[in-house]
Amino acid sequence: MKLRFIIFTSFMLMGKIFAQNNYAVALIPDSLKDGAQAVVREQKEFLLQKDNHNGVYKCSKVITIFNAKGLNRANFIVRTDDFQELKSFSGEVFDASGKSIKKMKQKDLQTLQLTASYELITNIKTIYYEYHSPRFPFTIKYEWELKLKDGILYYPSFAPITAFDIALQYAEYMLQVPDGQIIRYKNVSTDVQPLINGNRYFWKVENLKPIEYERFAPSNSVVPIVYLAPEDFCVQNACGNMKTWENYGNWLSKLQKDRDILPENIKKKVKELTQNMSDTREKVKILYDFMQKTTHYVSIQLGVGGWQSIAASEVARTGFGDCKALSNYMKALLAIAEIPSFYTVLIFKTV
Amino acid sequence: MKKHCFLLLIFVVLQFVTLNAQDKFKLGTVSQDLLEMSVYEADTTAVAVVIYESEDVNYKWDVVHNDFERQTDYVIRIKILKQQGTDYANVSVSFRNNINPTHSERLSDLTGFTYNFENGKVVKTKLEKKYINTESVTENWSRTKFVMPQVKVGSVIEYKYSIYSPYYNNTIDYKFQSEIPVKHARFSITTPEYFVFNKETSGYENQKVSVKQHSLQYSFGNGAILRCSGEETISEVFDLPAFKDENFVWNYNDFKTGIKFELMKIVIPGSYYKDFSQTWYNVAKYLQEANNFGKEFNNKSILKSETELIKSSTDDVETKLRSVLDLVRSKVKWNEKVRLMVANDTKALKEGAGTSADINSILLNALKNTEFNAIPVVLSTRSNGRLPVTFPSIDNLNYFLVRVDVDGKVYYLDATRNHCDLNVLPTDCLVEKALALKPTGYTWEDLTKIGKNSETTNMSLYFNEDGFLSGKRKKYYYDECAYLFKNKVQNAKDEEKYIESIENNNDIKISNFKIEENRSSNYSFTESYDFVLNNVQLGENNIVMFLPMVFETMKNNPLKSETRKLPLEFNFPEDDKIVLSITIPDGYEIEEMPQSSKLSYGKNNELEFNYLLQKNFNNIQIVYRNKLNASIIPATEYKYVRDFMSGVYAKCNEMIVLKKVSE
Repeated sequence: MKLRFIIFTSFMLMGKIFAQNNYAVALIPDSLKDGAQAVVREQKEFLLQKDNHNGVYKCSKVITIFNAKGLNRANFIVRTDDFQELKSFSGEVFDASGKSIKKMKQKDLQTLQLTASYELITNIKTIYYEYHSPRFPFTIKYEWELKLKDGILYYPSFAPITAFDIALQYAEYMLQVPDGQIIRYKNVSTDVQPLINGNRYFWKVENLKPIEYERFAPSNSVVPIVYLAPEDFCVQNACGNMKTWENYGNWLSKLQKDRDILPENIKKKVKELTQNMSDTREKVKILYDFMQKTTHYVSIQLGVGGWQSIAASEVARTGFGDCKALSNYMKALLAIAEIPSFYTVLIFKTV
Repeated sequence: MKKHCFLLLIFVVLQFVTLNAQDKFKLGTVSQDLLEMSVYEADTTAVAVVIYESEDVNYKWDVVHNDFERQTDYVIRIKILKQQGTDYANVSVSFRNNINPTHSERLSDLTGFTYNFENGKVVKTKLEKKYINTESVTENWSRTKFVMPQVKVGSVIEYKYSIYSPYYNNTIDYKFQSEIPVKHARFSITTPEYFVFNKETSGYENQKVSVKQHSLQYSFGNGAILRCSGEETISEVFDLPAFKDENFVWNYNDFKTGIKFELMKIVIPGSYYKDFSQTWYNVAKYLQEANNFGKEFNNKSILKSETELIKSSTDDVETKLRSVLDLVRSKVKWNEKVRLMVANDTKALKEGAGTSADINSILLNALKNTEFNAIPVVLSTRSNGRLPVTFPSIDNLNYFLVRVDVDGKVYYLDATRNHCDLNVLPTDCLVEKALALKPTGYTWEDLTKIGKNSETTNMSLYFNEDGFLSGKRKKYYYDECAYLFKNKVQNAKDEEKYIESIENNNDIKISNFKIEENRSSNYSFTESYDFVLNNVQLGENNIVMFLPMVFETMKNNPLKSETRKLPLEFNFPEDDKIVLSITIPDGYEIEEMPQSSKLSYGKNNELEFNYLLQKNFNNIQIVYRNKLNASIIPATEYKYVRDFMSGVYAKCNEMIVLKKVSE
């Protein structure tokens, strides 16, 4: 225990020694400035997982912005929801010489909690601070702390560079997990490996030149990222293990258990619609058509509702639901017609 | 406090009766015919139709706050006709918030039903509490969202709610018309005789307005009762068409069919008088004397040393004005908030960011400190809507910018956007009526005609070594055209993305791209590049065809509808010119080319088109000119404008045909 503590503090010290309180732009090596809209001067993240439900995330980030193109990199933005809340925040702006010209407190932050037109209710809040600087270059520093609660499905990624044309001077990420927790990580466009000591993992990267933008290049597979997640996880009371996709599938399918029960009138309707048909394809088509015509899309995702679908009986009663709810409902309709189907999840990203 | 006691005393004698508007719509029953209806005959494209909508406004006495309160009862019934119409099942109602939640607007008595016709009978489903959610949008606005159950094609939905508002003197601006047709809508307002209103209707559809007399009664909770006579104004519309999206409209709300009520004064003869109405003279005077407006514009310390330098740097007026404009823009950045009143310009200057009012206040002070005769010009931006014709009010103004008069010349300036210049303002500010606040009073100024807006393109076309049609192009953008051009480049994130979008839109490849800024006399940008068309190539075919102005050609006639009720509101007057030379490749001759043409429209040549083609030894010279000399053209002239545009469109889309010389 003691040894761990020493190693831990030495990790922290490494950071401390590096921590320049002088953010003068002149201190950035010329090799990093070339082609950069902005340079991440120093970013330090620390995540302490207390148990499967709770944790603390702290981050300190200093970035220098060279021109208007890099301006939105100067914004602070954090999303909070049922699983994380913002505990503290502070910010400071420095001019080119490194002189402090402005300080920000938590009360300067703005909060947006708005449902989209297809949404009825949401607990997702976007908390942000926008800095409109008329002068370049300037340096901005943010320090903030998040409380992780009610379940940890994944950890924030180690992704100190978020876009093209941004250079990096120094970044580190420290992760501390409870005894017995195994972590999973995946590198994209980087071969950085963690220093491991017991339950602590430490990554750092230094002096990365900006990645030049090329046409049709997807930023999320070119910029270095380490994705991080625990093997044993919880989402509220639903706990699972993500060692394999099979495990994850089992967890999801447990969440859907008994949520495909339909009321009698719908069962009867399905039988009516399909009774004189022999072709399975035709049956699927007519049921799909029935589902489309009798329901519409409304997003309601709270807590575990982000993973667990609304029961088919509720969809039958209200005539609306989100993608999970409508798919699950469709699956239930198919089951009555004795057509096997599988609840399938996927992620799509627009480049 | 005194005021409230006073009111209370007077009203003790009066009496109040809640009115049930006659032929009030009955919630709760829907006919089988309506449920079985599958198309709306008057508009078969309608995705849904409003069968009935009503809004009833009444004034009540709020015993808790000792003041009036306005109650608005709203009812709507919608028939869903197509799948897209099910969007009307998701409803959102906005209302005002207040820092003091016990004295702000509130929505209550929300109920709703969906009706479906199933298996020969009407099935009625109730809106559930569970699917009603209220959220706050900003500090000043909240909204209640709800989802109607069991909505599908054929359903009829109906819901009702009431909004109680302490802001009883706020304007009521009710619009009958929406994106779907309306079968029947009814607006009614019942006002005690002591309330004097200004009424204004808008739009092009008929409204049936009638007035009825009633006797009213107000009770004050302590047994005190006040009787008076009242007036009910009812406006009804029948068979209103959907409000169509059209090109060339600054703000749809200016034209939707609706009715507006503004409380001008409360007069109780001999005992109480409160005037909410204003004259433009009063508005101007108020602004000039206001602490957070006129009083802000004498700040000698703002940018003092910098303006001293500019003062002695040159004698040229325009150079000086531009120096001050650039100075302010280098010190403060716009935070995208549009404001009329100044919050704190000194603080904005210190922090480097501020609202439109803060920034233009800094500009105004800096210009004054450079010894210019600078004054504020207040207005309602296009997106905020036109100023009402009959009702002067500060509430309708939302923006101000700066005017400078030097030796009989007038300059308008705005420091919020980077791409503005002398007499080049944000397009949203180019309104017909802006109030210039002169020390001696006020004048109305037309800002739609202040710029010399034009685009000139020089282009040469030839076939390259591989036989592809190629060219060199240089385009000059002046004034407002320069402003819009630079915005477009900026919105594309970076130059690369901008070039990419031109290439994709026109199916060309671009090289040697360059943008230059020029502010010597007119404000202008020059954009130049070389290009190769991907789809026009000399080949085995005997002939090759292409549009003379290639991708600069008008791609479609922007005026599609045959008739129009709204006036045409163009962005700004504009002069477009293309000078073009086409080299005919060796071994080819001209088979066909368009004839020169000249078109014009209007008494004062509001629209002019000139197309001149000339064939020389081995090339074709073309001069194209399309000039718009007005911002607004009335709807009565639509047919002629459309004919003009169609003529221009057809002419520009005539092709040049080259043929191989037969040997």
